[in-house]
Amino acid sequence: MAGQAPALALTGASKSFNGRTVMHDVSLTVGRGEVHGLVGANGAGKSTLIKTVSGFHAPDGGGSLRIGEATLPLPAGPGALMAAGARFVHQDLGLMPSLSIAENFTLEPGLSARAFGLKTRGQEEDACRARLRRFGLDHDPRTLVGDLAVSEQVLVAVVRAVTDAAGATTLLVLDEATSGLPWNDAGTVLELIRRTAADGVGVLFVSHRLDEVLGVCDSVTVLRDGHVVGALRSTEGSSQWSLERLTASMFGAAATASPTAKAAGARPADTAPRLRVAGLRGAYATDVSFDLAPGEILGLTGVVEAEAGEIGRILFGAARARGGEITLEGERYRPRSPRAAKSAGVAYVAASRDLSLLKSLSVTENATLADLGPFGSAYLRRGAERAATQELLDRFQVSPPDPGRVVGTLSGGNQQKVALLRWLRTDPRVLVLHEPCRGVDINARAAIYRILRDAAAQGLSVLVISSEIEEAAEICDRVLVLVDGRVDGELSGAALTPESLMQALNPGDAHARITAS
Amino acid sequence: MPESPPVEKPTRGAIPPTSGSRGRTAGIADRVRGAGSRLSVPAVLIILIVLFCLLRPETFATWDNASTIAQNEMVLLIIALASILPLIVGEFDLSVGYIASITAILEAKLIGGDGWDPVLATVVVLLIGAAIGAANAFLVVGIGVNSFIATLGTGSILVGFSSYISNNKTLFEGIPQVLTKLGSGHFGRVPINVLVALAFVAAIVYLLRYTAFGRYMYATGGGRDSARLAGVPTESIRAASLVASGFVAGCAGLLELGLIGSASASIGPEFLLPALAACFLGTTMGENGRFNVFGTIVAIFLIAVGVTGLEQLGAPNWVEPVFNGAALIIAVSVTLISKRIGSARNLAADTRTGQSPTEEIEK
Repeated sequence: MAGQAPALALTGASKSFNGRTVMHDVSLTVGRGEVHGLVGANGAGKSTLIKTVSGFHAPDGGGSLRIGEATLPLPAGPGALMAAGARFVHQDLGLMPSLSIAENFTLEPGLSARAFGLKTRGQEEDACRARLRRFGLDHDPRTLVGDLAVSEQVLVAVVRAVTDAAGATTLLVLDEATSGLPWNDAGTVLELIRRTAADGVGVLFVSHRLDEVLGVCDSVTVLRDGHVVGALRSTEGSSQWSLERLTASMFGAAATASPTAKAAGARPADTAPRLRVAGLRGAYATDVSFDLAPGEILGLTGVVEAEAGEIGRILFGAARARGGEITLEGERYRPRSPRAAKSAGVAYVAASRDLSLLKSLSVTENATLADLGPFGSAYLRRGAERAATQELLDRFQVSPPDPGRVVGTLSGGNQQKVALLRWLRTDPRVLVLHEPCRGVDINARAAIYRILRDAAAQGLSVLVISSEIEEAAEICDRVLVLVDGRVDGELSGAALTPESLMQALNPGDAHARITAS
Repeated sequence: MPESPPVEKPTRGAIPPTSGSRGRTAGIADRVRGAGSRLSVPAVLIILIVLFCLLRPETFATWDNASTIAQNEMVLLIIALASILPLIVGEFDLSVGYIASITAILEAKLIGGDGWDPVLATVVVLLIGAAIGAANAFLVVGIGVNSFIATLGTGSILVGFSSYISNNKTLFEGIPQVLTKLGSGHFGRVPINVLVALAFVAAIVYLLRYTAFGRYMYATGGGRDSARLAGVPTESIRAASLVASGFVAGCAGLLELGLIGSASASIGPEFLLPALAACFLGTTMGENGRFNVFGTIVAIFLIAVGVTGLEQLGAPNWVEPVFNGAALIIAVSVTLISKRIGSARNLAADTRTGQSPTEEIEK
């Protein structure tokens, strides 16, 4: 497509928050017909970059954005982006599960102007069917989106984006749109992406699944600490276009530095496990087995977040196991509810703080909810409760240290500390944490890691379920990698680095080149 | 996150960084401002009382007037207390008024019509109130019917049964003297039903504030899934609050029977909307906008004082429902608007200090 303006040309964009620059003079070009990958570790600036393209962030002065022939003001408005042919599919896909495919197609952006246009149901369904057929899909438009497999939902979202009535598509941005896909199920989606590119659309593909990136992209931009640190092209040959090159570029020299304070976690191998999981099966898990020792911080990570997350919920009685054995200190353990798990000494902090906390309740009420016993259940000594909470807030350095404050008004890091101290004060035997530092700033992160190490040093067994591999590598003594519902790899000691984890998460044979069909 | 203190403060004690101290002082300022808006409805109540006392000193500013207002509102108050229990856990009970009717009718029918022993009849009738609550709980918690729908349905069934049992008549006979005394008697110059209502208020305030059960109720209402993940037995809590609601509504029915001296299918339903309105109006006085007993009481008296005063000034009787509805809408709207202004002010403060709370972390 030489001679045509590139689908996307962003130049010289910088952005800082609170005086911290998270994006330094970044430029990015996506050609017509090109699938361009954007990769980087957490905090590398991927989402800032995408949000700059999508008009959510205004860059700090300077910088220019061109979509196809159109030069857009920064920040670009949704209407201007639409008119220039930019389409976005984000991680949540923006589909309504309770509506049919055809109905979802009528919900596309730009519809409002035609909202009262007369179209019969049959016409809508025909139009939808035609749009699906253009990409070789023959789903019934009346199917509810919620009844589709995750990969089919991604297909629907992508087709909806690139075939909408608002005009020709120049640029398609897929922002972690494939991150919810089961491991074996990405093929059809990747084929669709190639097909879209073959129509002359530039595709910006943001993903942490490097196998997919290598499989589907023509070129890749690597971000680290807000800088563009690498640009790879698939035509460069396998020594350059490889997982090793990508991970080295993503993590830089930092990856080789040995993670700190891990020595404390080295446990004698002959300690009896506190928790033993054998052959566990669930909605995702097909055969998961592992041991968790007293005082150990064990990481559990997987390409598909839901896989690892399910293990945590099963251990806390919030999801049902379909088979397998769990033993807790030698006794059979099969919690029927979170309450039962709590009595057995298992604690759990959910990934979302909307679930791990009651945001409209006060800090005290949240902190003591899991165990009101010390304050009396028939007569709650509110003064003692408040004093105990105050002490915990001081110990864990929660800011502001105000027991009466509504939890929802605290910052992410402080909320997470409250969620943690709720359970640590119950003195559990096993603590399961799902994404313990999601949306937590760097200082609070360090504080939380310290709290966890201290607790582990006291003998607490911690299971950290995390999709942030840097986090898993930093905090855990040992990390298990889940692929296809089973434990596929284990890393510990010096071998446990973000780089090695990233490679373990991308089993080599999966990234065969996808070509347009 | 409207007002998060944006920067983590790793150490406390030493001279705090400016942002950290802002977080703390903002907390205090928020609370003062919050208390201000929470006290606005009680302030309006006091202003109304003073105003009517000045305008109608010979009729309004009398003990008899005060005691009549109080006596007339106690059944409503107890029905509001019955409603507030499910509301706190996040459920509606729209059957409270109908439960009050049917218990009053059953009491009169069993004693006056069928010659039951009054004590036995009263115990049975109160158990029936609780049993209706249990039926609601079964539908809502056991089967999963939306409580709005389930209790609307049971309420309608109760209307039918009430008509059937009373044969569409007003029952006057067989009302135990004790009930009449409790409902309409006086202790000195104080209506006895005020003392009865105070006992209910005390019991429910104790339950909500000083028991683990009450805490679990607020937690369940704050987020059922989150409460469950903290080990709260949310299903039992929801079920128990519906059963308690039925029981308390049944008590209110008997008290109404004692107050007006008759039972019919129409005595209860008219309480439902004012009771719910009082609970919601009461949230404007609750900590963090919660359902609470104190606010509910103030709300009931705000309406009663306003309506009585206006009537004494010569307002026609259609004013009552208008005043009722307007007070609810205005109080809740004003509270929401003042909250929005408050959070906008906080946001502005965050922007001034260069802190962007939602963007502090790059994910």
